[in-house]
Amino acid sequence: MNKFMVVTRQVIRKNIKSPAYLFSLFFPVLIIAVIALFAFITNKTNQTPTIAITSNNVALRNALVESPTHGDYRVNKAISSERVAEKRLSHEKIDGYLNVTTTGQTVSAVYRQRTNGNSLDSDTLKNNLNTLKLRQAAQQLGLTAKQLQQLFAPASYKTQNVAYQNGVVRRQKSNQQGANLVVAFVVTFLIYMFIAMYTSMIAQETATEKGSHIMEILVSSVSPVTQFFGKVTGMLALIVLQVIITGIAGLIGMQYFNHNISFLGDFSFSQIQPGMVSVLVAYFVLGVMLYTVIAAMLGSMVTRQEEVSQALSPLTTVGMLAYVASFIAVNSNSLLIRIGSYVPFLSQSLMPVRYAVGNAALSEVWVSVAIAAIALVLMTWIACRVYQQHVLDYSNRRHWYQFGRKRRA
Amino acid sequence: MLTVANLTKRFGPKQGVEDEAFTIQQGEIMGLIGQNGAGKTTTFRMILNLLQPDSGTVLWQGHPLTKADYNTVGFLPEERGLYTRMSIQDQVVYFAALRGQQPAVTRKALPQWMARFNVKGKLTDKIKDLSKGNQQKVQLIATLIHQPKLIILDEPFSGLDPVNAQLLEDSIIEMKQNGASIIFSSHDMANVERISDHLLMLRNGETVLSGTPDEIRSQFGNTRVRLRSPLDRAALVAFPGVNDVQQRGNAYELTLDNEAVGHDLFKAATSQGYIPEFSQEPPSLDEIFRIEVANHE
Ligand SMILES: Nc1ncnc2c1ncn2[C@@H]1O[C@H](COP(=O)(O)OP(=O)(O)OP(=O)(O)O)[C@@H](O)[C@H]1O
Ligand SMILES: [Mg+2]
Repeated sequence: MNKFMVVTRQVIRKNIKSPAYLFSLFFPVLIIAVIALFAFITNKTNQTPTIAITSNNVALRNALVESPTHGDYRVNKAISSERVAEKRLSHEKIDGYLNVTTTGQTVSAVYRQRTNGNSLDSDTLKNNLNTLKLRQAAQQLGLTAKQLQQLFAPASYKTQNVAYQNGVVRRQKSNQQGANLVVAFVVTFLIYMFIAMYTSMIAQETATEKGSHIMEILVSSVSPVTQFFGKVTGMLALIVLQVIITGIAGLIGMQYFNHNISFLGDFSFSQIQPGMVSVLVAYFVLGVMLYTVIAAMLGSMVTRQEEVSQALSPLTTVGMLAYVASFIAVNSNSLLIRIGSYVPFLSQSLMPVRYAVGNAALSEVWVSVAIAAIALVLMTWIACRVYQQHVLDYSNRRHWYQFGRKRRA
Repeated sequence: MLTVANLTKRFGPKQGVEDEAFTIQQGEIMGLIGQNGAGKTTTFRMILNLLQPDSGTVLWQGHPLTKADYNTVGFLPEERGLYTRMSIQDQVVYFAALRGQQPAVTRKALPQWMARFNVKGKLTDKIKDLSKGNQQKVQLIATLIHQPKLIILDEPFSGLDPVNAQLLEDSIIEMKQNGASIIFSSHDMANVERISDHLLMLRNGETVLSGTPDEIRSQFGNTRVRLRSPLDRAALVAFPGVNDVQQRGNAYELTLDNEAVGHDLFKAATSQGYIPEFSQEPPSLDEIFRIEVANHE
């Protein structure tokens, strides 16, 4: 087994065994499970109500009893008189009853329900009643079925969203844009979370090794370059693992709750363009890795573990600003936002959102991705050099403090 | 074979190591002694390339130490460092893997090493739950378990009780018999003298003593006598050529002007026949250490 792999595996093993990491890894699964449990319990306690239907118009009553219930209620067909229904209601045998009175052309209905019974979602029942009433009226007017259909055909109503790109209209189906934006938001948030998490993980680890002088053993066993790449690769593997677990949890969750959560109502994965998916994956990997690499470098520059968060703070601040700016990017396409969407360390938050709302074309996105990729290569090279120089540097604290002082000045 | 020649390192105006030179053959143990700040740790760091010398060379088997040699090195740093949240087994397996030893091999050998060093703890115990001495022993195991050929131990005896120090001495001797070149530092002159084939004393980075323990001690002459005889304190103080008389229990320790005084002393002490103790030796290493330090102040 070569030493690069030894280091990589160690990074993975060590974190996989840490309860804190495992918790964060399975946090989305936990959330989904909690919501599922909650939904399950509410479904259990809120069962379909059993009702009775009574009327002075027997034909209408029978037709209503036979109408489709869509699972919203169950009809106790045996009860046909108001008196019996009231008695059953008082004995809590039924949850409520509908009494329909027809006088001439007028149809009026009263639904009496127990306050302690299962509540009725009355939409279906109302629709059924209206349909029957209309049919009755149409019959009396002597209309044919076709005339009836014409009469009640609703007017067509559609929303079209347009975005202008250099003065040219770009068409996007409205729900497609919605889906893109939802996914862009979720992914931008996750990228930010991952950045915060993995930068601190790798920096802590490096600083601990340096602070506890484990580094002297490491450096006399493995070259710092191998060590650096082994660590970064281990982190990459953990990131990919977490993306996969989070992705699967998200997918299952969305399928499961499609009907329960209104804003996901007309959300479907088929609406997300393949371009969008590759863009997001690219930013996920490049964005998080950029930060991770720099964090490893910063971790090697401090002398004690306690200095880590201070050393990391400029980096995490940049990440947070980029994240906050992504909200502005939804409604604004200002010069600053446009430039920012090409700048490494910012682009992973801004460009996905700009693309999702139709403010950037796919070609522009790939330019920004390419810039991020070049930046990653460059930063990795720089970080590796710094790491190499600083992992054993205990005495010379000048580097860091000089750097810190310059920044503050 | 490790060959160190003309090794020099300065830290600004401070002297780290000055023109240091020695050779350690296979199956040889070199003991490095010297006051705090003498340059022992600096020497080790330069051997391992952890620190760049200003001048001089370090050759291992005739070539500079490179990545390819890392697997044959066993290094116990001065400041101990272990991953405190790892289990004993994971920790040792990882360090050994970094030296190129397969995990399966390490796992198989580990129980014997745990028994040999009498480590109090299970393989699955976390490092942080061990006592300091036991952590130290785990670190020693991690240093030696891959059967290194170049062993560098920076104060390996510090923190060990006499029984465990003996166990470590035995292990170092065994490594030597397996053909390893070993260099270690210590402030305990007794165990340095017991196990070192060669001895080097540094003072402010300069080499002030070098040779086998016997050679070094005999340089100072056979001028120490320990005596139990009918001669009393007054007689000893008055004896010509005797410089200093110290009473230790019912024995006396004397410092002589020169070796020959011992002959006269022996005659006088045994003039009435049997005496229980007479021994004439060079000064102890402890004493030589103090003499050397005092000499240069
Ligand atoms: N990184 C460094 N920067 C500046 N000076 C250093 C550095 N490392 C060591 N020194 C100095 O070099 C000298 C030798 O130090 P070294 O650590 O080798 O001593 P030592 O013999 O190991 O002492 P001890 O017995 O206390 O461990 C000391 O004066 C020390 O202050
Ligand atoms: Mg030292």
